[in-house]
Amino acid sequence: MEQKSKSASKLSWGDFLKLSAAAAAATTVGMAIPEEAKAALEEVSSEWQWDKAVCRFCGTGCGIMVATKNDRIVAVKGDPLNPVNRGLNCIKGYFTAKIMYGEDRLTKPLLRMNEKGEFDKKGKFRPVSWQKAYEIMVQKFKEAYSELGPEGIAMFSSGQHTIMERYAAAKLWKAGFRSNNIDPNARHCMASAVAAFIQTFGIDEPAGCYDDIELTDTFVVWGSNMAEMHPVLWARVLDRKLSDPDRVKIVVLSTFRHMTMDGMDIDILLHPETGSLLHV
Amino acid sequence: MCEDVPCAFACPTKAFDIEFLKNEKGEVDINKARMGIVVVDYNSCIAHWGLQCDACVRACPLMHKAIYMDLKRNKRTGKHAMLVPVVDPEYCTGCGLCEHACPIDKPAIYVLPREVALGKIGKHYVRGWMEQKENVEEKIREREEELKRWRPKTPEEYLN
Repeated sequence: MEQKSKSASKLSWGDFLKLSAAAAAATTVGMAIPEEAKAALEEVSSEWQWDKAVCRFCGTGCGIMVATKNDRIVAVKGDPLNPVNRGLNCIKGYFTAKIMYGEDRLTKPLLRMNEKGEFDKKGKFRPVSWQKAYEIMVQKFKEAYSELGPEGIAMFSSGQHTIMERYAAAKLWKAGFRSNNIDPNARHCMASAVAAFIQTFGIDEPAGCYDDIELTDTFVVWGSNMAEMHPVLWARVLDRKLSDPDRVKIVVLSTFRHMTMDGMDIDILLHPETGSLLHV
Repeated sequence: MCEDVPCAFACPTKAFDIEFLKNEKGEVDINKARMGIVVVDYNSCIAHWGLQCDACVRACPLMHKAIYMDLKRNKRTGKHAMLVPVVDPEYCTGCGLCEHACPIDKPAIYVLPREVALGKIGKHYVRGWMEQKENVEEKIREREEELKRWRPKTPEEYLN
């Protein structure tokens, strides 16, 4: 497939250099630059610039190329050289360039407030300055801490914390406020997976890699809806199935029917909380 | 789609044929409606580029029947499957919900009148692998009518 790294331009690189040099010389000696040449130069300098990035809409990690112009994302394409997606995306990735500018995107702090501009839990969201947002947070934190002490506060942090951030957060919470109430969102997802990984595979991380997909004969998809959540990766699993339909089997276990279950070799619908019986 | 088709009963000029919508049990069934047929422009459908898009399938009230996903291998990447939407005229009512769901600027899937979009197979051929689905008796009747009217052309007629 033909790949164009730059948008079409009327000027070649040689013309650009000549014009730039002429423009610089003209400015030095105080000559007027022809309007036409000026316009041509502006067109070149405002060309789309393509940079490498990773799609952020799920954890698959599809490689994308993002085009920017005047500090704004104008277009996106799948990176054909990326081994994960080979230039493909899903419908979420298709919208990467536009979603940054969605009307419902939060770009400033919002505070629930009453008519007088004071914090009110039942009020409507209105934009406030970062200064004001922090003042209210400090005030509310102090109220809770002085009333209930270390038991009255908690930090719900992120699995995306860096090691340094996590260290600082733990120090602040445990040594500073003397509270044990600190946990990341990972408590809801990866922590349970880690326990199961250690028990099953003896390692606390997913033990495989994407290239294993093309070498796998039997897939057991348990508690995951890849077809809808990680579509490009699911396309690789399906392609493995298509490559040798009689040999490759896909087994899906879930507590509800979803698209990953459609037409698979074995689909097992579990009643919630009965899954652990299958571990035996 | 609405289930009880209230407009059909309210229409003073009986523009909507309720008899047409009745199923085997005699109940009004909106799935029997044939408002048109959906066609896909394979060139602008991003699923046909290999992108994982199933917006039209999800929007379809007869999901996996009127529009279903066909699996193909992506020869360019060599390791991804393509899930492309295929329309089955047997089930498609032509409601157009898929057309509204299509994410591209001008939908790649859209409703056309059935007489414009659908082809017609010759009455002299029956698909041996799906005789159940084809109304063979009707086909035989129609073919016999056709044969009654048939007379051979003379070579002069053919050549001139």
